[in-house]
Amino acid sequence: MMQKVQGIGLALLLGAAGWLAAQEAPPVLPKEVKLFAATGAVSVAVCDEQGLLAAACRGAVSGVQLWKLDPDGVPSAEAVTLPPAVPAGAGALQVGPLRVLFHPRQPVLYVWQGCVLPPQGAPERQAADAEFRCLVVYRWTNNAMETVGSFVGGTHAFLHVGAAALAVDPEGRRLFMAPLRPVGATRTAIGWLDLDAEGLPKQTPVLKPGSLDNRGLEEFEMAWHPYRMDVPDFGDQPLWSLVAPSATVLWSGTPNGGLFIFDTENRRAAVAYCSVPGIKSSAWTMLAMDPIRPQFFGVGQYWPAIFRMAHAEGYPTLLPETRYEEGAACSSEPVVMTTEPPRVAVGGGRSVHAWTSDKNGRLGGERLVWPVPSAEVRAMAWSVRFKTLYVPAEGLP
Amino acid sequence: MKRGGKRQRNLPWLAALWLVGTAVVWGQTPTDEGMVTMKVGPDEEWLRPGVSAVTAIARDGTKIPATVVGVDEASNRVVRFQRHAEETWYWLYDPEMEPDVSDQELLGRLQDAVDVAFYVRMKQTDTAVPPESPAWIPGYRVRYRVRLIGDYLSSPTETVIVRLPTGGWLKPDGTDVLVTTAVGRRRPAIVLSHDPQGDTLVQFRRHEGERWYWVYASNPEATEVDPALLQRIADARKAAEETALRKMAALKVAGERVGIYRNKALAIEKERDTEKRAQQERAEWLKLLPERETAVSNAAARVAAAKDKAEKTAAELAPLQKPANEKTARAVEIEKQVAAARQALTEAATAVEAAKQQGDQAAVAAAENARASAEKKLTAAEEAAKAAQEEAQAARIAAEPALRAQADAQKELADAEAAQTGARNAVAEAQMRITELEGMISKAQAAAAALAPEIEPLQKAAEEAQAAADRAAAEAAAAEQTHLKLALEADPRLHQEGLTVEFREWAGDDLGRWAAVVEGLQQSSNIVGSAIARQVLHVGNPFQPSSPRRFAASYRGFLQIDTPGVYSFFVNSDDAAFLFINQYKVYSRAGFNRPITGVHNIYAVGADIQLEAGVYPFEVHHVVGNTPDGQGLCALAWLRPGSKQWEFVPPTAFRHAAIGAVTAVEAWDGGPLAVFDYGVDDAFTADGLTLYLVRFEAQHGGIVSDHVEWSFGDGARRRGASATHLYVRPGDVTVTLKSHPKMPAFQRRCHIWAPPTPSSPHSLARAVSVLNQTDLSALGRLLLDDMYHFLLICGQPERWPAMERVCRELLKDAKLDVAYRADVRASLMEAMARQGRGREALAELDAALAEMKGVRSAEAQVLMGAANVAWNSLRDLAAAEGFYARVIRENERARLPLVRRAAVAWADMYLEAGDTAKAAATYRLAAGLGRGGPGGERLTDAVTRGALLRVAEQQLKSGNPRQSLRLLRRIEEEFPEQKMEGLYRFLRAEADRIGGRYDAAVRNYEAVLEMRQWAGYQPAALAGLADTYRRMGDEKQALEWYRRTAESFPAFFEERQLSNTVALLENQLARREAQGEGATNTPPVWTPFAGYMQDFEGLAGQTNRLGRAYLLPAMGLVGPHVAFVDAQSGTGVEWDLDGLKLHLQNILGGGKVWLEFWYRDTAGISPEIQPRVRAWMATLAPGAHPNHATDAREVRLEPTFGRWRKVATRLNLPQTQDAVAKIVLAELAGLYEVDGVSVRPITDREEDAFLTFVEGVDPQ
Amino acid sequence: MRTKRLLRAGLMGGLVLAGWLAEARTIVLDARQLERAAGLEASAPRHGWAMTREGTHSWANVIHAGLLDLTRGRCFLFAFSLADIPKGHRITHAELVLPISTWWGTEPRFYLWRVLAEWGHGVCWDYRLVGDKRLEWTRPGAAGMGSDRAARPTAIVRLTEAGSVVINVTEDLDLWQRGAAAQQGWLLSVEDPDVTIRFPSPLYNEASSWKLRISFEPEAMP
Repeated sequence: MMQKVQGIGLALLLGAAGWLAAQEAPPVLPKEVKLFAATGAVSVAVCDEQGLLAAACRGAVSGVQLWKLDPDGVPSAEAVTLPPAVPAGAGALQVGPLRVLFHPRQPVLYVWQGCVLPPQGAPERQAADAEFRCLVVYRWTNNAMETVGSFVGGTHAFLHVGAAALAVDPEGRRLFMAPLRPVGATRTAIGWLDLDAEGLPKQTPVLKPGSLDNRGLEEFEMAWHPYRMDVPDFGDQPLWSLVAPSATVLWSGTPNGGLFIFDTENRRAAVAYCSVPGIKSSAWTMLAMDPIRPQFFGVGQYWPAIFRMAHAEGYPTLLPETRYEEGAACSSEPVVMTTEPPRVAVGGGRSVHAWTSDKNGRLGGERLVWPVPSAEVRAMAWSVRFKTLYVPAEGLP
Repeated sequence: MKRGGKRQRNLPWLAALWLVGTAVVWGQTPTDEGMVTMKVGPDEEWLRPGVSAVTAIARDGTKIPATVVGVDEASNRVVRFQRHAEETWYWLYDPEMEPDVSDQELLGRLQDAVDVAFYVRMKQTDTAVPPESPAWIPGYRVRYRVRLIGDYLSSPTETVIVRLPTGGWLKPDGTDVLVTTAVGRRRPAIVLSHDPQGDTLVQFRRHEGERWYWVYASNPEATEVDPALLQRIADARKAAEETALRKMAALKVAGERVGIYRNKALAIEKERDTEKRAQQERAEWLKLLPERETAVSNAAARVAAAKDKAEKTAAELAPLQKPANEKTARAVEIEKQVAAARQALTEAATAVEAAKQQGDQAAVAAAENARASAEKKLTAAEEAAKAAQEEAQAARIAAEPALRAQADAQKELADAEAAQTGARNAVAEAQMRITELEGMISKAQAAAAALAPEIEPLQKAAEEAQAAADRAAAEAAAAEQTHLKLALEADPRLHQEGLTVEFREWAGDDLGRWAAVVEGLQQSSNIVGSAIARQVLHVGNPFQPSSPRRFAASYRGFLQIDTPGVYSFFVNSDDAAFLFINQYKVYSRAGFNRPITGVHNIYAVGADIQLEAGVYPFEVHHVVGNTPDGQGLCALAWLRPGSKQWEFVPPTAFRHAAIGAVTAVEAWDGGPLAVFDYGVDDAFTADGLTLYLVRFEAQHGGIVSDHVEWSFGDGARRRGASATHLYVRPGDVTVTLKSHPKMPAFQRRCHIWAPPTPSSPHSLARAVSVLNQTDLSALGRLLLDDMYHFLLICGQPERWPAMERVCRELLKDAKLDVAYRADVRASLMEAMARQGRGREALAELDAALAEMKGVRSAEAQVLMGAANVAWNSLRDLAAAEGFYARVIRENERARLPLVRRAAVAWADMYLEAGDTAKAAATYRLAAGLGRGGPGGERLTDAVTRGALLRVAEQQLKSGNPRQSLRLLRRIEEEFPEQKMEGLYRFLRAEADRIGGRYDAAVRNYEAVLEMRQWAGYQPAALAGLADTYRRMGDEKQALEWYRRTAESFPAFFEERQLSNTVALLENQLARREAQGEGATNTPPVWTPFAGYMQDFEGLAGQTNRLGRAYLLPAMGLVGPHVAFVDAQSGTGVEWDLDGLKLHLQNILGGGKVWLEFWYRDTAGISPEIQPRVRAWMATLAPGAHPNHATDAREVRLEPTFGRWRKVATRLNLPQTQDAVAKIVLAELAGLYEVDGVSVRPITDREEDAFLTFVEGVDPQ
Repeated sequence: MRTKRLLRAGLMGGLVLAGWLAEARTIVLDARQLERAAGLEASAPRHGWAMTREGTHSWANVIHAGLLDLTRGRCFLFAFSLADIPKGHRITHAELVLPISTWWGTEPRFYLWRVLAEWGHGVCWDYRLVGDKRLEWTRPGAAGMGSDRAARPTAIVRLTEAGSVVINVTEDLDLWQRGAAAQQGWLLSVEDPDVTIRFPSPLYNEASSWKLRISFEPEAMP
């Protein structure tokens, strides 16, 4: 009896304390938001299976940082920096990661890296052009990230871009990547590599020019050769956001506030361009897919509006919905939080905005603003397992 | 017949003359040895009676005497003359009639059949009767009788290709086929392509001049050819293939080596060329050099002369120059003294001044004295200066001429020197250029020398490669020979003849490389169709025209290369295309591609290979993926050696086999066995609903019994030799025909699509009759909806039984939409009433209302249906009133548009019943009800109503009654009370007359005649009434009304020129009465022109009169006979099927007819030449020129790859009593089958119903 | 004679009842009360929101949500939510007001059909998703008369000048309100080959110009 009373008492005290604390101290972040120390993070990914958190950091110390998450999702104090894949002959090449992504099922991390190319005539330049690879694949084996290999370089990729996008379809059969160098044309291209059961890229048959067998038929050799599709009409600007709702449909944000829908099965080309009213026509669109409901969200970069569209197997259907809220200029891709009620979080400069949706998933609820000690929140990640939103912050005590 | 003014290219044969009844002989076997008999029609004026000698002139100009030997029973004069060599074309003329005509003119006439003379074409008489059939070979259940078509005797072909309708009777791999001659001698045969749901292409070896062959099929236990022989043949073939491959590889290498050698030789030649040019230039410079040197020496001489001249003048000048100079110097000197003196003077003056200022008189005086002496010195100096000046001047003048001479000499010297330097420079430049050129020459020589050693090995390599290629070729030829000798018996394909194509549905998914395409082809097991082709050229999938995607086409044939050399090949295509020659890939285009269009560098697109003269087996594989905007184009083009122009590979470049046609099919036990073929008769669309009428014809080679049973693939079944079925969905259906009790049903995959031919007004009636015979219970719900909608708007009087059955089927569906159920109920009642069961229909009213679940608009719909039945069929005014009133009463409170329509219908009923007062009141009530219809408020004022009426009248005057009728209906809906006016009734009468609703027209005209206040319309009403009776065929009434019009309104009668219509009517009446009395006790034979059908039955027996067409019992689409038109050897030949000249008696002047016939290309059409059909209509009135066409149409013949396709067009009838319709096939190349020619009149009602149907529920 | 009496009775009945109309009410719904809306297009068969216009990009279709270009090969489905009509009332009059911004083609007209087949999330040109079952339209583009859409069009509207068009839809509302047919909304289509009619999109700022005026009265009224 006594313990129960004390229990109650203790709860009262704590409650009061909590209540007291809430009054004066600045509003404490809700328990589902966790900050972790990472300066200049441009891309964050979380792996639920193995409990890993990866961030691509650029700036003073640029590289991919990795944290181990303990059973209730708290990142480890110290972060491990993964070694970038630099070709031997290229000497001291300035290499920086642009995007990190975990395979939906396998403990495999994909990193897209860019580099500052040495001047034209320099010997390293020739080595860099030939051997530098943009896609680096790591696998988590016996408690450490081990480099599996690096792919897609040379004539396939732009080596010096400022941004890149990676996406894997929910079943993990294809890894989509952008921007790639198009076949012949002058614009950018989007491409994919098929993934095998373990999530590693598969080789495809490539024509060996000039080789004719006795029947006059060319010979083919196997190589990591991404299938490339042209992105129409936007010059050589990098595309910042790719989402793959299925292995045969791909969405990409565009620099004019709309989105492309690609059919990667029959046409292997863009089948539709969707302009979304309410999004400024000079803002990059950044997209995110709801892991549970058949809908997806998009924001215009540095534009205070978010839109929601239902989709059936990747094709937009019914009436799209747009919410414009003054002062919510978005600086990161939206992240769908599978809480109750579901929320969509978007980085907004020095804070995170979270739109709550009503029971049938529409953006009906109010918008919460959580301040974050960081120059600009450019990426976040949501872990479905730990029900936690990991937000990179600078200058944590 | 003369075809317009255009003179055809030098045609080896020409259009047959339009006179019928001529014995026409063509080819090698004339009727009796060496003599030609020919009949000249009685009305040929050029052959005057009593003349016995005429002259025949052959194409090469030789003249042969011909004698008129007698007159036959049809009073044709018979002329005979000696045949000249193998000549087939002669020209007969009477020399006395045209004494002065030149041979040239005669031959010109032979080319262009001018009407006066008469000429003969000799053609092989083709007896259609086959020799006696051989004994049956046990084990085989089906036998096809095959006959060779075309000029098979003179063509050098060794093998025959025939398309057998097998329809699933063969073994899965289709190998149970055996070919024998009339006496039973077996011929080697092979199956080229087998479609289990269609035809099988079989190729077999001919036997000398045999024309008839029997192909046995369908033997489950067919025994294989002796396996050992097969194995030896297989080995020999593999060896032949390997050597051929090596040959091709060697040829490819030789081609490349020659290419490299050619390039290197080109490089050397370039060097040599620069050297030569440098040499030339050097030679020119060398020629120039001496001139320049002489110029230098001349210049030097000139300089020397100038120099000594200068010295001379200098010498002359010196003595004069020196004193002049001295004197001048002195003068200068003195001048200086003068200046000094002047200076002193001024100083003295200033001193005086200074002294004056100091006032020292003595100083002043001294200064004065000094000034005076300075003054004196100055004047003396000046005089001396002047004198010295003059002396200097004189000396200079004296020296002047010498000075000038010396200056000239100097200048001359300077010029000379300049000239000299110029000359020297020129020389230097020449030398420098020469050295430069020598440098270039030596460099070029060096380069050529450097390259020379390389050329040697290259040339040697090229020669070696060519030698190797020749060796390989020889080796390949030897291996081929051994293989051919061995395999000749088993495989007719070794005769390397025939070009066939096979289409499959593409089941693969990767077009990126040949290996992936091969995998896809292996998976694509579903053959869609196969055909004999003349060229490698198609657009889209001819066997599934409605879906030009996801198909693979494989051409297999033999290329005849006459001139050896380097050929470039190119297959222009949608997506992937591959060309193999001798199994060696020459050209490939993988992946998703668009056809190459526009101007390209001529060598940029093709692939080169060196070919020597000979025959090469080749394959073209074309695959179209799922590219949404693919058209499915594939065209094989080549660049012959030395030509600069890409062209399609022409039919003459392929080796073709002889063509066989199946003329009969028999069962082993003599039972009734039949196969069938099909053609899409018509496809018409209204309101988004498309219906396809497809004709199926059972074929046996004779008359097919009527108890054969069809199943059309959508659940419907029918009996009867030929059937027409109505489909609603395009795509493939499998249709089966059960004819023989012990044989499986013949099945064929039929593709239903909408061909581009215009739709026929008669198709609606045919569709309704098909519906009446179809068992509807088997049709799915979708078909019922479409059938209901079709019956609703087709406007055919015989549709009511089908409508009743469709409505009953629909009402069985409990989930039917309420409004739809109300419509169906109303239509059911009308259908029963129209079949005379009005009472029974009204008995079902209460049950119908109960089903409407209390929805007032649905109840109103049913009640209006009931009112319509009560009045239109039962004439029960009271009942109808009750129903209408109930609709209006129950829906007072809701503004339903339906209520307004009910009120208007109620008023119409009163008008029809003659109660105009009630009608007017009810119309006014209707105007106020159900306001607020779509955009209803705006059309209220009288101005708009008047405007609509004027527009309706104007439309009628400008000859389109249909638009005016639609405007009148809109007026009715907007302003119901408008119906009372006279103008409105007159416009309705005109519209009904032209729309074929003759009784309504008569009623409306009489109403107008009664309205005194509308007298202005009476003449037009009278004429309208007369024309209505004319169209109904009642001449007496028509003449009566025309007479009344002439009496009361003579000016109107003249102005409308009704007199010749009256004349035409009187002739028609006279002919009808004459026929009436002439016949004895038989009823009058007067048949207004009902239509003319020519399925060539009538003509089969006679010597055929169809130009180079043959009438044969064969697998046509109408009746057992078909006309084969053979233009295989010609290119762009004009065939004048004068057998297709159809006489039309007792036509309705000014009306329209529908002309159509079926055709297919048995052995491929080369679309490059664009074959066409010309259809003509001409009058037969006496005095009219037979060639003057009153109406002519032209239609293009598309390649059909062996499928039956229909050609159809409208023709306007002339204003006469009789006419002739004629068909000419122009610019043909290939073998065609033509069948089922039909010409039928289009009545006003049919035309109106068809236009209403096409315009849909609410026409624009 | 009988009809005169009947006529007079009808008219009199109308006047007497005027007094009763007090309780009758009229509500106006606009695009914001749209329960579902979808644009279908033959050349983008899988999209449910595809009122495309021939964009400048030849490579793909432009899905433009700002305007609806209705032409052949496209149709626009929309359904209002009728929750605001209280039970036990009957519809006396209903008018659909559609805003027209412009059109191309001669004698332009469009058809208004009542939709019979069930449709919702995932609807597209070839089929409609009911739950996650894929049901084909009887004819692609909901063209099956009598199965996908009503056997007869509710109205065929001819356009004479720009501005909004008023359509009498009393019969359809009566059907839905009485429960005799499931409320699947309407379908706009153009059947003539070279006519294009442009509507301002209900999504954009013209939402208020799409109106449905419904007047109804209690069932108890005589």
